[in-house]
Amino acid sequence: MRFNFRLIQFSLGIVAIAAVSCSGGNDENGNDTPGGDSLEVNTGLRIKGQSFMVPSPVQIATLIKNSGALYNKGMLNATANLSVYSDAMKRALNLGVYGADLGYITMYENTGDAMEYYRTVVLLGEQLKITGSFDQSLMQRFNDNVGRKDSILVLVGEAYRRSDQFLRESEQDNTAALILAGGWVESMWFALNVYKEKPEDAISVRIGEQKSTAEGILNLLRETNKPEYKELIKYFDELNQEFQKVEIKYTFAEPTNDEAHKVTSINGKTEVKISPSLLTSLLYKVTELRNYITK
Amino acid sequence: MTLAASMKKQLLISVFLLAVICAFHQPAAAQCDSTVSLCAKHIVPPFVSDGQTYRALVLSGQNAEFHTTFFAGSSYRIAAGSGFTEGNLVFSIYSYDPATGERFLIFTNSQHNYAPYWDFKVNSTVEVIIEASLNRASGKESGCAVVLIGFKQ
Repeated sequence: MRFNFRLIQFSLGIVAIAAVSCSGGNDENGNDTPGGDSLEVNTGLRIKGQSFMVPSPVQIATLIKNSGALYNKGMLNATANLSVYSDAMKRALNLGVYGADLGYITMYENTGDAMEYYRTVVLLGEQLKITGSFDQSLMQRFNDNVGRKDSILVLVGEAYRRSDQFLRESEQDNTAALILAGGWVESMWFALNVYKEKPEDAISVRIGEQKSTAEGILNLLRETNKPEYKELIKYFDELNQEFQKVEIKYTFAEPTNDEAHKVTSINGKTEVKISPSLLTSLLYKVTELRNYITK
Repeated sequence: MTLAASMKKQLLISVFLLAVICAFHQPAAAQCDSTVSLCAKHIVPPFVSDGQTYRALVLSGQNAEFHTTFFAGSSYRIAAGSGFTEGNLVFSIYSYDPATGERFLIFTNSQHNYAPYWDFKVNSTVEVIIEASLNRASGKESGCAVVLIGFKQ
């Protein structure tokens, strides 16, 4: 009898685990149901609360190209470094880094380098077991569109969106956060280096405008609660402390609507104050962080 | 019945129960995936995806918030939805003063027939909050809110 009782306990235990693992679903009315009172359910979905959206690194690359700065392959993370990344954290961070590199290369329409970096991105995606995004069919579409900058940008953006979707569906939000963080660090690395060579307000202002993004990414990484990210978070924290010295003043103005074309113009104005010494300090901190990520 | 046979029987029953429970609890993510596909069809060239999918589970009467930065000189397309059809999600865009925390309404699709997407031309860089809630007319008590962003220079 005692033995049967243990078996029943065992069975109930499995059923309880199942109930917990399957919680969060759809009720009979098709409503999604959260699994409990926590802020995050096991699908990576956030309930209420706030989410942070990281701007695309391609936008920084565009600004750099428009500034007249020349293409500089020396700024990129060499593809030969791929073999150095043996753990999941470094691989995810560098998938973001190489993605930003690919965006930069694409803006400058350097076909040979684009193929090299695209292959690297596909390899890293495979190593991270991200399926449905960086695969051979996309590689074929990439080959078919080489030389068409706009098409390649769309393909790369779509590939990263699909990988982000895959990671969130498979409850790998930590990996998604690392990819975003890596891409943003690389874009800051570009911007600060270009500013060093070509100190223009358009670039320094765009760097200063990243103040909120720096804090947002730091919070994303902290929310992962991963002990193995401790050193990465330390570097991010130091960088964020510098970014918080940027002064930003916003003045609201009424937006204007173009109903026919479904367009609203946002007319407010933001003023950014960032000193040359702060830019030097940011370059130092970004270099430290990037070295940690890419070495 | 031998000990091994009894354990095997109990294990089979447990696995069967587990399968039944899971079958009747489709993950919330499944609905999200369909909604992502619904929204993605609006992020088309010349708009380039920002590479992310933003999702949140919202309950009736509550909001999900997404914070980001829109950069000067760019245009953005926001596509948002919930469930399997368009029009189930109300989304509003606020500009945000990081110094004071004050927010200013820029746009809400509730004033535009619950449009599933809208474009924004940005003249000066601005911090933005995208607020999403279920359209009461959908009759849903909860749902997966999905927001996708595309941009063009």
